[in-house]
Amino acid sequence: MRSFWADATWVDGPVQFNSLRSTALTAIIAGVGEGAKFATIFIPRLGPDSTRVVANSVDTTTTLDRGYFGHYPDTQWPGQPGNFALAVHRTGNGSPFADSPKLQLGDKIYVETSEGYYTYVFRNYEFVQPTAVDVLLHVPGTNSSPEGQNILTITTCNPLLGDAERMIVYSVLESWRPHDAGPPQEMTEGLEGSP
Amino acid sequence: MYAALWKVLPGTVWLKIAILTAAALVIVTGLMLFVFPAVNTAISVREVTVTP
Repeated sequence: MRSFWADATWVDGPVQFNSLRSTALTAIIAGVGEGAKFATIFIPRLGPDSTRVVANSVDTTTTLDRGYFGHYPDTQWPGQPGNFALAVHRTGNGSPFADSPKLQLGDKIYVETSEGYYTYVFRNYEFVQPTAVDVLLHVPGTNSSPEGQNILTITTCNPLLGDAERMIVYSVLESWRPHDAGPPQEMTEGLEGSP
Repeated sequence: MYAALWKVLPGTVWLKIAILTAAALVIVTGLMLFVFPAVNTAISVREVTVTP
């Protein structure tokens, strides 16, 4: 059922994500300790106040229950070929991902680290069993090489108010800019009080 | 109920206000530190990660 992951490259298909090929030169954050905060994530579709902390842990008490997005420590970093995988609460603890079912194809997801701004584009949902750890592979659901793939995977609970399943939100890296260059214009435009 | 509370409290108007303000702070702090987290643990979904 997930064979399209293996058969298609990210730039094929009806939806074109430009500048994917330029992402080979992205800067990658390094030396992040277990549990350390290392990024923020901003999803305009979830509201202008949807910026949240990303910490390098998926521990419930120290990370997820604080409303942070938690990075699966064994997965890749923003801009690194492979899969940048996060987990986040959908209900309770600030409900940081409550509106995630409103995402639409092409919606931007901005990740900022000390190295740069990484713009991901929402691609699709998947609904899986809680044991489906293959969503964390370099290319989710396959053993394909991470080369040329820059995927953002976010896991959360499903259905709403339950955790019998997991909802997976997949996005792909569209572009990257160094931190010195400042945030992408489209990231800040339309936001009141933004610099 | 609030009228009865007001009559029971000793002292001048300002002392009553001070007592009520302090009591409100204690109650809100107790709710934030203990009651709400306990309720959250009881009602919220814990598992959002995929694990083998």
